[in-house]
Amino acid sequence: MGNERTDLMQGTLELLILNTLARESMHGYGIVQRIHEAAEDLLKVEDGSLYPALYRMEERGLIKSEWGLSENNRRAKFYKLTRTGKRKLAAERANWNRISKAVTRILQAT
Amino acid sequence: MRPSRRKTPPEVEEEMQFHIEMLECKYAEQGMSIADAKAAALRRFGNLETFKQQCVEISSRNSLLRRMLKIASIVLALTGLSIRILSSDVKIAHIGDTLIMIAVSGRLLLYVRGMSPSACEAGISKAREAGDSIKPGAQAPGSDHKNKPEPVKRVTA
Repeated sequence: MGNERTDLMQGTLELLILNTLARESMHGYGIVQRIHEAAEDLLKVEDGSLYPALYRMEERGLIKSEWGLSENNRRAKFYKLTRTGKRKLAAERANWNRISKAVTRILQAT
Repeated sequence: MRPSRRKTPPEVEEEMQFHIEMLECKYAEQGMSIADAKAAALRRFGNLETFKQQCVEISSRNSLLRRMLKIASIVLALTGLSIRILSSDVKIAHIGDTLIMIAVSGRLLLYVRGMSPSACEAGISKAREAGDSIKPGAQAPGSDHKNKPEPVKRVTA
């Protein structure tokens, strides 16, 4: 397998963040690490790009943050899903499934 | 025209610094020299200044709303107080009391939601100045074991 890394499609970072936070609250570094692990480093994501996305999502009430201590006792900001965020995740997942199914069908048809 | 640059609030700075230092730590554990780990962490993070500015822009939008709410609560409290002082009718005076209570509750809510652990910030800045970088297992300055949150699953690369 090659070392190609794919750019993240616009808008999908939000879905990945929501999905990552569905299980537990995490700090920014943890979220990015989890995304990289799950994608087996195939996605090209600059770690810093996560933060404007997190701030926007918090502004929209999808997530909320609070300061706590990290696994190595450092002060860190933890994010967790709000009820609105959970609803958004369900909707975005369904939307993603529809899109990927449609694109797969188109690719198979040609 | 140059785009206006806002001062980065310490919390944005601290959050991103934490991320970069965690990356540095990870790369150092993989065997990189400190200088290489630092460079690799910054590469991985991307354009730090741009991301900071974006976060500041978004935060300031939030703080504008907060300012408006603060002003509204003050106006409400003053109105309530005026009604309370000027009115001799008990029923109308109650309306004043209610307005004051709404204003105080709103103000308290804003305060609680916007509370930042600034007490810790002073300690952390001092530690940074003293060259306290990432040391896994090290106690954060100003942190309190009693208030330690639920342990977060350790994320390994």
